[in-house]
Amino acid sequence: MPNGGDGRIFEEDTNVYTYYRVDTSATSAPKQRTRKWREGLFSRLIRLFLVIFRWGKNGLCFIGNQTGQAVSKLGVKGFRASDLFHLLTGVILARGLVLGELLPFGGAYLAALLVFRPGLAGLMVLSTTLGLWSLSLPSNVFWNQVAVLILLASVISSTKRKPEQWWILLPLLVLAGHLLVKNAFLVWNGWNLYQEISIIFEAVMAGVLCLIFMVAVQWMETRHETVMHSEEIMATIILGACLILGISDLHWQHWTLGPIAASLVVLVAAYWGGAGAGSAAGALIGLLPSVTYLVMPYAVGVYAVSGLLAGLFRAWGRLGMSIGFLLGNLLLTLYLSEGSINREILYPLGSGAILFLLLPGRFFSRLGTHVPIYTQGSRGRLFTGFVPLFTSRSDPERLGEDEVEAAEAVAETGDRGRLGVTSKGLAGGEGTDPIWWKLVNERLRNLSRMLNEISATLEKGKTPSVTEGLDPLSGFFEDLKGELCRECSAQRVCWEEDFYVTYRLFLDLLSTGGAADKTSSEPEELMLRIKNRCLYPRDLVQQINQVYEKMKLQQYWQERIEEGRGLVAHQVKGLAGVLNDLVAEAHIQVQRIKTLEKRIIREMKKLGVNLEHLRVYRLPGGELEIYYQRRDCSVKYDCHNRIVPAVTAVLGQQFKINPAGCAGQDKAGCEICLTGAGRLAVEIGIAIRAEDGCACSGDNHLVMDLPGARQLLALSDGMGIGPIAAENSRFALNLMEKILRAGLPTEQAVRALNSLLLLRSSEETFATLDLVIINLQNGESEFFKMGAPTAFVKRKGKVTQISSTSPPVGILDEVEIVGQKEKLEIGDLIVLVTDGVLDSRFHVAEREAWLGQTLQQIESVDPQPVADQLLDRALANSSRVKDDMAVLVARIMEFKSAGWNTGNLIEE
Amino acid sequence: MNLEFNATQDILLTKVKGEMDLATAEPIRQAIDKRLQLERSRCLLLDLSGVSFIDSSGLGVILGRYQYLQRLGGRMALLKPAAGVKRVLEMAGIDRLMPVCESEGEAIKYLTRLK
Repeated sequence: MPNGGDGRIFEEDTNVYTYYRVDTSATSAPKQRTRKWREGLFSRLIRLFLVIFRWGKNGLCFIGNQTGQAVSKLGVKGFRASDLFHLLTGVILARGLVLGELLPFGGAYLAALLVFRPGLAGLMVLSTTLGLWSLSLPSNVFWNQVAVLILLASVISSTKRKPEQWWILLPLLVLAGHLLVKNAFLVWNGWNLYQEISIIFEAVMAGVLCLIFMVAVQWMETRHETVMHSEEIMATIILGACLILGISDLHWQHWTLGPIAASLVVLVAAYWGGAGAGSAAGALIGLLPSVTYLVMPYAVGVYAVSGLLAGLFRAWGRLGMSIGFLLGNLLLTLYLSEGSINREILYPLGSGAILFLLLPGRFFSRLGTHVPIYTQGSRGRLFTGFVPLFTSRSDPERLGEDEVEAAEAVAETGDRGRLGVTSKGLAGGEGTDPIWWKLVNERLRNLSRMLNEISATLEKGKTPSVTEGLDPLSGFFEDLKGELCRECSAQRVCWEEDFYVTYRLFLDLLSTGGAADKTSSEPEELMLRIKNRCLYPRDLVQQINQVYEKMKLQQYWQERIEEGRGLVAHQVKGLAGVLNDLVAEAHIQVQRIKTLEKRIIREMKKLGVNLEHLRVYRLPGGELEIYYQRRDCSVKYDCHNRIVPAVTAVLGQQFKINPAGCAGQDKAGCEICLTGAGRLAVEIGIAIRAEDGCACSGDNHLVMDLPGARQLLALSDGMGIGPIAAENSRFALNLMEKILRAGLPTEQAVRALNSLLLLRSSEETFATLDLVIINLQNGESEFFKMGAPTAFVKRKGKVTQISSTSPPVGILDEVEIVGQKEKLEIGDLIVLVTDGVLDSRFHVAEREAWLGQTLQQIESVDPQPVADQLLDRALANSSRVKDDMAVLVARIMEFKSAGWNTGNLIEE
Repeated sequence: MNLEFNATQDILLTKVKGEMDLATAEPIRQAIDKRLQLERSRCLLLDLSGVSFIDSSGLGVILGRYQYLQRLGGRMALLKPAAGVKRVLEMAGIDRLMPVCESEGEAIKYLTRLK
């Protein structure tokens, strides 16, 4: 550490430019002191800037919130602080001039925004009018522009259409609005061709821009949490360029806002996409002065070259890029202006570069979450050899500590199977950006869409049937005519004079299902008609039978093909559904808490325990999970008896080992996970009996801990009996366990399970699912019943029933999931049964009542005896067990924490 | 197990007599499917008044036909199940998917509403 006393900012700085450290070790003491002084000054300056920046940011947030509240009080519903951005954009865009007189931007943006935020109509008209007013326009230009704005705002806000219904209509509306209003003003003031052409040009521009702005606004309003598509990136860049147009004439002394913003945009583009993006952005930005006023477009070349140089200097960090940008800009300006350069050029460029240097790292990491940052290879082959010398910030560092920790956390927990993704692809590889998740998300979503498309195509695309249309039949008649009737003397009569009679006869023959085995007996009338018309009835019938059999065979295979196609379509659709469910939850990220890790390690050292690879994660729900490895335990159950109480004491909340158990002094060591234990615990009793004559029961159960101190109880009854039913229910529960462990919420997990069960087999099989999820902190529970019978809760001797039911899983494309909430208390008994238990009672009306009374009569409060007794009573109801029976009983208890201090010790 | 079919317009009325369990589920399924294809019906009215017992295999037959007709854009209704059978249907959530009617007129009215 070269300069330990200089605080955090300086530490960050030395990390950025590591070559300082190398130099420091090699230089003399006076030089070191000078450098220390300079670096100290530099760090203080940066700190001052950061403080000012933070004040500014907080101040803006405060103003935004206050304004939002004030506007809401004025009656504008749903006003958000972020709407200030739209209003400000409206003001700026309204100021944007093209060719010195056209104003297409304000109306286009107003129209695009109001499609998504119709409530802002009044405020947007005000803000755009304010922008126009600031331009000091001639009164007729000002008023016709305001009239266009009012017309557009009133039409759009009064038309109740969904945004997706506006895509074609809106540009046309904007075009028509401009043409109508401006032409009316033109006619009023005296028509001339030049003005007419200007109006048409402005109207077309506004229409096209409105479509582009809609893409950008749609992303801001509906998809701003997601990765931007290429068209959204382009639309946003164009919107940004238009904004620069709007502020291009604002200046203070020697500082003009337009060039400052232009420099900043070019530098950010170069940082984002390297030399290519930098020069492209430069060319676009350089075009703006020529668009605004009729000037020579020399700025295109200046900015394009500056962007190119900035991108090429990317390997040298932001400072290098700024130098490259300034060099390119100044050299070309000097060249083009024949050696003269003034402060009006120099100051804005320098300011833009300084602002770029001061942009916080978080800005780029935020940018990276929406726009895939071009990281690898963009440093350019030209500078590959110098990179180790000058680049000190690796990609993860540039993302900021928080993001890296989140990414690491995802990677590491994924390794343990919670999120189902291995860490090697994340932490080990180069793509550790948080954007990785967003990209995966987008890819999965696209894959799901693609599978849906394939499924729809398969469902629609039917093979043409041989029985459809006349072609196969006409072919058949031609064959018959050619082969059988060729030599017949009556051919002309049958196929020419009485063609329709013959045709009808053969059609009737085919429609009665062919003539096979019907020559002698049936249908009599038909045979009589054949004999009356044909000289060779037997040959005719044989021929028709052959053709009919062939057609039947074709039809059979066609049906099989259709079935296969339908099945594949169905399975592809199911797979798309599973992917969609995964995508919905793939954004889950966890946060690593290093401060807690340090505290635990400190505490463990006091106990003389060495925990390896300790990681503390906060899950999206706020609950903590702790992972560590141990190789040095001397006593069995040491984690239970010493570590858990210590961790509980440090963190101030109950923890338990998950899953419970101890491998002892295993040489390979243990990998332990501690999860929040909650205030409550659940004790389980289970009793199962197979149907008479069957070796195994079709009923299965599952009890598991869920993240966030929750407990899952599940009972499943497979369709049918015996091993097939057992396989169905076991498969359903196993899948359910995997899906819930992957972190999906219950409802989505049930939907995913349904889709997967449908994929498993084309046969009509299903499984019932009786789920209870208990929150062990507060006792709140939710019952999900998919084709499952009534559940019972016994509290202080009284029994209540819970009987909301949805169809079972694995047979229908869509399942409706209805949960029923119940607050559980310590001492409550929950009883889940399968239908076999209730069906043991003959009379329908008394089934649930009988089980309720039986449960009430049982005095025991221990789950296992209660389960056994309930099963025994059900068995006693009939002489024969007609269906599998299962009883799952759970008792809610107070959680007894582990460790020496509670007396809850486990001894070998 | 005994099945009676009666096709009118687009509706296939199927009366089931006996038990709908593992032993009878497959023949019932095949017979109904064959008849639905033959009659090209998109609606099925399943008369359960003669069904004395139904288990999960029987429920599978009903849910399978419902799913099949749904994909065709058709409908299905159940008619006059006995109390025991009705309770099982309720327990399986089938009454949420299709109406369980007490009269044929009511069921036909529901099914013809499709047109």
